[in-house]
Amino acid sequence: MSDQSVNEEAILKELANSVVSLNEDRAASLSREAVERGVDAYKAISEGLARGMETIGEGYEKGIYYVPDLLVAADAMYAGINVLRPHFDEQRSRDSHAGCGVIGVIEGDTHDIGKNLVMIMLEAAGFRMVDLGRDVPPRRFVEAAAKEGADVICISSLITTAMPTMEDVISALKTEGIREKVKVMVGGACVSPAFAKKIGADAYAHNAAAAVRTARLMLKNA
Amino acid sequence: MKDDQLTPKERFRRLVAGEPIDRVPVALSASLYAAKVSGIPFREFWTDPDQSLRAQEWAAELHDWDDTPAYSYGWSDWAGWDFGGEVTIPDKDIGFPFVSERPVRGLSDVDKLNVPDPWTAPVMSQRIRCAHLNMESIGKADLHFNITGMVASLAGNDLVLRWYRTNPAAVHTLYRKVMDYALRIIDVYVTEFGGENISVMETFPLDSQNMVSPQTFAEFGFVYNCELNQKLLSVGVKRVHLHLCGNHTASLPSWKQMSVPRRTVVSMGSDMDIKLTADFFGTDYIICGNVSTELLQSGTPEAVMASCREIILKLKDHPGGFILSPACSLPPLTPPVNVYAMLKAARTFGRYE
Repeated sequence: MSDQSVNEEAILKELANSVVSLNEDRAASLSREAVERGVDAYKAISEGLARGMETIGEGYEKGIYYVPDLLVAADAMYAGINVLRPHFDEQRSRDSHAGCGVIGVIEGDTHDIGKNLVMIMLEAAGFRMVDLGRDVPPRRFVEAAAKEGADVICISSLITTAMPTMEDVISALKTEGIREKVKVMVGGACVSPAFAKKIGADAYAHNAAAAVRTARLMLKNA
Repeated sequence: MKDDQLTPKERFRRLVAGEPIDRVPVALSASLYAAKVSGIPFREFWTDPDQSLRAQEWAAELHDWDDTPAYSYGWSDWAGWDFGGEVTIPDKDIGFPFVSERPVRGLSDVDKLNVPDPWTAPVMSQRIRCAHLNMESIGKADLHFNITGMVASLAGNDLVLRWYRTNPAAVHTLYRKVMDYALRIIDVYVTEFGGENISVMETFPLDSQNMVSPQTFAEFGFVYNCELNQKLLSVGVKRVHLHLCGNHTASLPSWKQMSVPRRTVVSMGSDMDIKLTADFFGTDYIICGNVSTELLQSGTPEAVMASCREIILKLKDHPGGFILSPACSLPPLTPPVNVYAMLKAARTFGRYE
């Protein structure tokens, strides 16, 4: 292995470690160093920063890390991404994406922690995500999915009162004639696999890490 | 069917006293459901205490459930308004108010926060009014605390959750300000109503392991909630209800250390193993729970009865006593027949000889 490869491997590893150690400043400075050393920017994200986020996600599922850790790790990851983004080819980035997702909290609900975590983990997994925010009317999900060419719509709700509105997203997709073109994944504290099946969603994910596995599986089988 | 031998009030009195009762009580925390079945728009429910209380009284009479109308002016994200932020109360058919402009938007705002006066703060002033209405109507004044939730309402969940890791001192400052407000509120209630007439409900969604580690809870939420409960005990509060939203299993030992009155009610959601939790808490606590709210809203009455039966048979003989309740507040969209199914299940499977 050449010196350059060794150096690159070391930088990628350190980038991952900066995320795992929740060190935003280190992630940014290492990203600058990666650029200076000629490390491919997209690789620095996908095989460096995002790997660190993946480690955090695995730890979250095992009960080693919790929501504060995910959020601060994500801040470190994004601090690095912001340094690297001007240096990579957007088109290549789009071509390399695992998929495109539209995500939001359904109308009537403003609890967005879970949604934010899912978005972070899907972005770390290479998905291009469009965040619609919270209290999102069903039609906005459909319009955004159509505009962005989304592969998956992720709908979140923490409260039972907002859950029935999730079904309206699926109805609107059918009305627009694009139901077969996009997968629908639902989640949230009160949502269950049975509910997902009842409303005609394609999948249910019980946490952010599961959402990544589910999204990958759905698109693989599409 | 309705061949109860005790009134709801008498049933609860006996349960707390540890005396024999006729059947498992049913408590529904049905504030928004009451608004829905009474035809009151949610916005009016949030802003008109008189209407709100009347709705709850009518709904209780309709279904003959066992719990009494609670405070009516409250939602989870409220403290930020009292501390100087702005709130949005939706005009929608179903909607929850939320703080739309937080009083804390960055670290530099933390030390500048002033602790409000409960008498003039937008939410607490209305809650005091509601408490007076409750006192006149049913002889108790209700208080609700969610200390960590109040902290999150000041700065938003995203900031507080991050600051646990990056700026713990700032979080402690926020907790201190919230606690100072809570202590002022308690003092007002004691003066107005007397400690023995105050009934306190405490909820802890942001302290669960769904959100933070047991260590974070031990360092933050646990410390300040201990202070809260010590204050409540010191002023003679005898009725406390702890609602464990989310999964608190790993921090159960901490909960047992909290100083609460004997016969405190501990309720929980679907994330907790109710039998395991009941066995852990033991005979000094009344256990309450935990019918799935999704089932109540979307299931059939038969499925609701089956689920209630399973829970009742597990818990009806818990030495400390047991109350059948939803895992959280009764969803406002619950079909009335499912409410009836809960009560029918209590009367069918929950009788005591």
